[in-house]
Amino acid sequence: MYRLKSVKLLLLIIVILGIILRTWKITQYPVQLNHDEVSQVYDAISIAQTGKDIYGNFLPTIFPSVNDFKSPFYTYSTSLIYLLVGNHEWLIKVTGILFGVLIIPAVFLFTRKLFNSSKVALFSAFFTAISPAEIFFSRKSFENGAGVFFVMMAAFFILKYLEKQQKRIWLILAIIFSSFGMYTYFSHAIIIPLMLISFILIFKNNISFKKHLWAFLLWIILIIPLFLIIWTNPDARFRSQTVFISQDRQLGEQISLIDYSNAFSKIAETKTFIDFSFNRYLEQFDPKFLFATGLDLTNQGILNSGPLLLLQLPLILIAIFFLSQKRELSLASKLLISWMVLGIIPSGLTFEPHSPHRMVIVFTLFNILSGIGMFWLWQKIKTFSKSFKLISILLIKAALILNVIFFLHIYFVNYPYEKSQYIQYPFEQVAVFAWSEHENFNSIVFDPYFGEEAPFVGTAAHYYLAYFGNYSPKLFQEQYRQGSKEREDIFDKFSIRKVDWRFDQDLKNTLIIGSSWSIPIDRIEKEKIIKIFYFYNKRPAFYAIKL
Amino acid sequence: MVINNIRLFSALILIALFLRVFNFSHPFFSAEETRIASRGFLISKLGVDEIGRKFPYVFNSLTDYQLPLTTYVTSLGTLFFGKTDLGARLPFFIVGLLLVWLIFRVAKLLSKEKTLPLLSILIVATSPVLIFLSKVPNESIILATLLVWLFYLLINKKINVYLLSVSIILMLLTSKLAFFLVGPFVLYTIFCFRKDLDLKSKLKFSAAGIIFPIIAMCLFLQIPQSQRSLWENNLTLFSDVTTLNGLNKIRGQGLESGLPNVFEAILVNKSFFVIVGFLHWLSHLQPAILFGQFDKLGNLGFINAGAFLKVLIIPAIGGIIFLIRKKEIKLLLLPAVITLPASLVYPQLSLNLVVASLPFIALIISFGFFYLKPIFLKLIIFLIFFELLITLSLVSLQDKQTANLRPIWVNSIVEKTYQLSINNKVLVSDDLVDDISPFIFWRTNFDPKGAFLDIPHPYKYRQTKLGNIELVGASSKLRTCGKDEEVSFISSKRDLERIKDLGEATASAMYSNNKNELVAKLYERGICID
Repeated sequence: MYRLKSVKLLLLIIVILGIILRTWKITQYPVQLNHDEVSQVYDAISIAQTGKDIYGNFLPTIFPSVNDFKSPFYTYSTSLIYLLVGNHEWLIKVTGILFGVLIIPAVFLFTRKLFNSSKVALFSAFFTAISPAEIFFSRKSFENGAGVFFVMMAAFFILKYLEKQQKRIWLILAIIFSSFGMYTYFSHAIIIPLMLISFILIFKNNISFKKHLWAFLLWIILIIPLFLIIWTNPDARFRSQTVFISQDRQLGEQISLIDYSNAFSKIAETKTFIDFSFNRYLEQFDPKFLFATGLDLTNQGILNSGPLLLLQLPLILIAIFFLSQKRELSLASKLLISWMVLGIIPSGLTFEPHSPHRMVIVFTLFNILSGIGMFWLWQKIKTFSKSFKLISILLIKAALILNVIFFLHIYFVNYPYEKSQYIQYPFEQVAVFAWSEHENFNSIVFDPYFGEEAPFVGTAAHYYLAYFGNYSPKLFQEQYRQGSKEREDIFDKFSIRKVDWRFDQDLKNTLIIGSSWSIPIDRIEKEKIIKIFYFYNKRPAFYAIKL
Repeated sequence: MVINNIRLFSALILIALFLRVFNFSHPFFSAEETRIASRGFLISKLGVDEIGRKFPYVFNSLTDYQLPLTTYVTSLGTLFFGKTDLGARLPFFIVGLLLVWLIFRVAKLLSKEKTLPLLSILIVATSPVLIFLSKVPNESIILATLLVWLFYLLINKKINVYLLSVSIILMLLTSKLAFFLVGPFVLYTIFCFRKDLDLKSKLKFSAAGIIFPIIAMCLFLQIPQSQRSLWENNLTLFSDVTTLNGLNKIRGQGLESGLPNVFEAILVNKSFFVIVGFLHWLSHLQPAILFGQFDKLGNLGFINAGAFLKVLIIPAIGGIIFLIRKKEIKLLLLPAVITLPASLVYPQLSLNLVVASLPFIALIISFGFFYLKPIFLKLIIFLIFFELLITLSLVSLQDKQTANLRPIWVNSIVEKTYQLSINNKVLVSDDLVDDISPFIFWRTNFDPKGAFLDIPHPYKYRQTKLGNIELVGASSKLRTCGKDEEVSFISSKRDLERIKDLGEATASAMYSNNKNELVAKLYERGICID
């Protein structure tokens, strides 16, 4: 019963499990498209229909979006899907889910080739299928998963090529996949070359540089456009600068204390920077972050979800123990370690204390380690007596099921309650309502300054209004402009800006939508409030006021 | 020991000594360290503590009760060197060096490798945290040293029961953490490291590790508010409401979404306290604390340094692999056993326990050097001293980064306060530093008798009246002085806001911190308190 009978069948079951976890109620959970998704899908439609993004940039290599300068891969791939299937609310999810699912067989292929074991590969694929990080990022339309897929496949193709070094097609595929992976996400442009270098160094005895010079040149040719984009496009550089660790407030405070009249000030500055960055790098290994809080789905401390299941912790420790036991570290172990070390570099160099989205590949490698740990445990369990074996298997299964169900509980139940405002909930309802009142007013003003406990400005409001109003991107490109008022974006009848009630209360034939942070609701006559929009927990978020 | 090793040993001890003497006046004492220093001085001079109790067995602080050993150790230094920083630092300097020597002895017992003890000395000698704690009055370095001594006694071929008892008792007199630490540590060491002992002997020695802490705990519980002290400082996993509130919230949201009560009870229940404690415990041994930044506040170490130097992460990984291959997992797990009581203290980190585990982590790192080729070994040793030299040299930046915790600028304020208090009443804002009263005791010629109280066991106590000096709290009512009132006021930024509408009092002096920020103004007359 418990024997691994058919590898293909089991892999199929694992992939189906992965598909279910990534697609179940995908249009309801997350409870709304987040600002990244809505901006990417509307830009994608705009590209497909007009060849330009919503700001009128022709086939941009970097999307300005909401001044966060997004990498182009996800938007263009969504454009292609749009051309195939048309507009649906799940349109933006397709690429994320597709690659989120494809990672599962990719991990299987890579691990099987690396460790020469189908069982290790199956367990690794299984943990990839059920891992919280893989599910979470796949469901939230995140491009990093595509990069991980391309890396895994590229590594698989190289390993396949290295077996006999006869069929060049494997090496060509590896080059294409690895270079394509670099286009998917900014940090991959740095990490993937480093990963390839470490791969070559580890397998240097199997690779002749002279013999493969052509492959290197082909790879260079394929990535030249990417580096041209990065070096020539000021937006790309701007994006890198805005997320770089030097933007960190704490680091800035520390550096501000340096006395620059001192001869050693440069040493002090360099040391402060290195110390800070090194610490940030190491903080990514905090067990609390990895196994409890990393995805930040609730506000309840450790009662949260990490990128990995808690059950993976002992399995990873077992894997480390298992791999270290051998007299010499195998090439496979060296590769896993080196990729893990490299994969965390972007998180160590960015301004956020923890940035799980920049180390998704490391979580995938942890899933592979978990698979190794599980394999070793499986081998041990097989040596137990029948009853003890049964008890062990039941205990592991129970722990695993409880762990997965707890994650699903946090994701499907608690996450919407606790964090949906950070994906701009209920902007979709606001947009739909605003369009339903479009003909009744001369002007519609929306102030996205809102929040349950503390206020913040929700981004991409113009994208929400345009996308959920099925507004023509061509028309949007013509109409869109920035207004003279504070943070004002204007298109059609819409003005997205700060509401200043002292002046705005005198407007005529205007619909104002704002929160109690910007409008004195208590002083407004009841009949003027024509609609209240609620947060997921039923507390009021916005009020629509007829003037 | 061959001649070369003796030379190396001597050189390493000299390096340890030099690193602890280098910039000896740094770091400036924090309020808590100053309290220990001034109390030690009072004990050595008058036989009383800062509130006038004769040779007490438990002391007070702003946050908790303090056990006596640290203070009495400090008093030995001040007995010989008087009210000087040297007197307060010296005992801890000696304890720090003792730790270096003890780790050498332990390493010799643990392995036949001749270089291991020397490498262990190198790592302990260059640990930024252990250097730092060898220069300020604190209980952590004493606890760590006593723990290594206890370990040494336990793994010695012949266990000296008397010395064993002494070491345990001393630990129990050092820190409340020892109540929770000694038992598991002794049990683990005896059962995992002493395979040669018969069960009876194992049980006998283990009993010492269990009975003494139980007695100590019972005696401690006789002190008023001791339960509260334990509850609020050592068992916060249960006293802190965040976990329980979180559980209720997560479960409540499930019920609101229509999930059955039974399902919620099975999935989200109080067993989560175990998970929370477990993960919190593990996070004490994360690489960021050991090699990145040990203490973000700069209380127990240099603010931007880890417990060990960065480059040592390489031999640390090597050491783990080495010990796994040699099937010496017991040493690998020792730091986890030492930090186990940290699982009960959530959400704050128990860095004192991590300090206690550092010598053992140093041993693990030492094993990692065996994998290094000579060129890498040399490179790592060069990087160790290179980083250390820079860290120890940039003290003025450190001083600025810890300007609030270690207020090097407070000297002029307390001296002025004392001078003014000789003839008149002086008011001082109580938020200038964490607690200004120890600085007044330690940095001026203030007569301590003016601050004595008649309270036997003040818990979480702040002295607010020191003779003519009175501390002004946020709720104290300030007013304009009457004609005959001669009162001076040293006001923090907080109180400047409160007095700006009070008459025409003008500041006669201004005080800045070492970041050149205004921290206080002196009003020699005009502001009084109700």
